[in-house]
Amino acid sequence: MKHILKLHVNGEEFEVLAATHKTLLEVLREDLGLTGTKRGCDLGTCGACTVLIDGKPQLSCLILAVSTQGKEITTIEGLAQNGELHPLQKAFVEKGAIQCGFCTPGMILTAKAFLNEHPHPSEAEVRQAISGNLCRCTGYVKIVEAIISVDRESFPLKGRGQGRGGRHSKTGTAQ
Amino acid sequence: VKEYEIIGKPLPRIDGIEKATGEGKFTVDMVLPGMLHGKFLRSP
Repeated sequence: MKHILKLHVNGEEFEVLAATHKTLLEVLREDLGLTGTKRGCDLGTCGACTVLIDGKPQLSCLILAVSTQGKEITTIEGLAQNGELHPLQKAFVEKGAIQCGFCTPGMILTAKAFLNEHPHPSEAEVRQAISGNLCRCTGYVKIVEAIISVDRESFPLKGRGQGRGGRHSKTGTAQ
Repeated sequence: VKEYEIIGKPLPRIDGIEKATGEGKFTVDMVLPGMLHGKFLRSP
């Protein structure tokens, strides 16, 4: 059965006619054309589909789109503002933290939520925070370097309910 | 020591920005008019 969904994505309101069993990942990629969110394992294991829901990193492959109505969804497409890269995106590019790029959107979004809560993290804390995001190029060293290099003061808190990083907070609203 | 223009210097990754913004298209992200999807059905 199809249902009209009202979704708030990257500051815009969308109405989508979609089957109620569709995951948020499917609606983002197939109905909204936002293919920056990646389908990796589709099982909640790899973190490639991570998006921010009310500021918290969540696995969009485990969440039904219907359940995210009324919530603020941020995908990788929503990070750059007016053509200006987010400091984390800049850091990933400049530090060589991108290889094939498939894990990058999820990594960056997880890191963003984490840095909002932990402005000056240790390397160990960063590694813990991104432990739910797999990089099959195994480029972790540069990813960790890029996250640590970001000056927390250089980006303001944005949106409500900025959540914690790390995989433990990601499965909260799975239905 | 001779200064080279490229050798020995860091170069920005050519597709870095595309990949960091989600704009970069992987094969699975492509949609074409009239596109069909196929799947292998293999014997068990």
